[in-house]
Amino acid sequence: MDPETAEPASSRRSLIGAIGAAGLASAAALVAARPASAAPYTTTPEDRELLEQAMGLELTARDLYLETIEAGVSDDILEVVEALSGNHSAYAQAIAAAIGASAAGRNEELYADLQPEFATTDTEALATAGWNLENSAVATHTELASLYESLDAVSLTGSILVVEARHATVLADIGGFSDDLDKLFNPQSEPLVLAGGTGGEQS
Amino acid sequence: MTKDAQTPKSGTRFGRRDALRVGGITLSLAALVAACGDDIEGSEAPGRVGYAPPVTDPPDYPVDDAVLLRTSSSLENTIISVYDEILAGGALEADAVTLFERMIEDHQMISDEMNALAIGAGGEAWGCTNPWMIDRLVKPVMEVIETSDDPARDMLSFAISLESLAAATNQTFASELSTANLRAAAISAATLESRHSAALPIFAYGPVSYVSPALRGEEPGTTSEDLPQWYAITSAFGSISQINLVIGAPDENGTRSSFFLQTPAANSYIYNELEPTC
Repeated sequence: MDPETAEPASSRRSLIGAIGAAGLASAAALVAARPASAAPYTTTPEDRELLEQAMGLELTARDLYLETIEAGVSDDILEVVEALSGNHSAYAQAIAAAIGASAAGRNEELYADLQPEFATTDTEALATAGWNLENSAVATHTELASLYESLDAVSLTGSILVVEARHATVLADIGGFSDDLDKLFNPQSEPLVLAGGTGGEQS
Repeated sequence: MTKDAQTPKSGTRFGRRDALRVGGITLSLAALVAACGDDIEGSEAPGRVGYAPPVTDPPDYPVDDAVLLRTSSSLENTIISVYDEILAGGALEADAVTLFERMIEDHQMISDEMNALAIGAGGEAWGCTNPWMIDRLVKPVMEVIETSDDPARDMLSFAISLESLAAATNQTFASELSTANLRAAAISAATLESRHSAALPIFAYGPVSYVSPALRGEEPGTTSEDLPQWYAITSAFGSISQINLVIGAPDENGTRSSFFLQTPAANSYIYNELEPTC
């Protein structure tokens, strides 16, 4: 499967639809003008709204990898898939702790969209789907990091996305396209749509 | 007349033992009084044993965005200089050369971006390596690699640790820089360097290096040469703790050289007051 054709559908590509482009633009302008010395340490109400969306993304990723495990993935990569699912679960829990909520509420729309790609025993297909998801998650968190007001939110997000980039690197190797250094180091992924992430069914 | 057994030969009641005792007490009291006095002079630093070099206080210069960005650029330049030296050594296979050449391009891109941002933040570009890192890390490590039992293996290990260090540095700076665009640049750099850091163990060791057993609560493994195994995914969250690099030929006890890499701090920042050294 060609990774280029396996990128998420365009409906997932613009960020935080629920919040709206105008809201994002004004938030970005405010944040860009604020020096770090004035940045709060703990999450603000605006941060918590965005972090809740990020938590939904992490719960979705966790559940998608659980789909793969349930489908009966090859023993060769079972440990990897379990580790990825476990890490995304840890991210959701860490974000939940940061916003003072329980780690619940995956993004149902995103989950339904990607579930067929992950409910597979085809190692290369899974690797491609996972590679797309991880790189999209990195792009999404990178975008969010420029919107957060608090140092806590930036710091937590940084510690998450650098490991998600490592996830993608491993999946590229499993998928057999790690020789393409452009794909490996500079994947052209877009942030995910997180609209509808909040308020979804608890997973 | 019988002499009293308790009376000293001198005929006094104050003997030599009493004199010593009273003298000792007097000296102790004098020392105590002197120690409690307010006219203490001399160094108040803790005592030092052995021949360690004297402690150098870090410079007392302000740290602003430009300093962090210049420091980041200096780290990128340091990595480029190491990779250039590795490539010049000719010990790497052709596919490793391709990988290192690509990583050099990426580090040059990050260095250029950090310098441009430093200028935008009111500072000056830093086109040199990081002098502190070169003296305290790069030179000693490269000396060990020169006499290693497997230089190519150790060069890869050094590269993995440098990529991890660069990722950790930019991850740390992302939450210290003052504006969103600067944070985004640091996060993007950390992300790219994390990808490098993950790709290198896979390149060197294959699938066994995908995930550290530490994520399952188990001990990380070792290689067939009893060296710590490098992994692509080392932990659930990006680590900014020190990195342990073990390289070189084993000595008569089987012990190899260890180095600890730490993210830049007060002693290795490229302050605005520093003049370029290249």
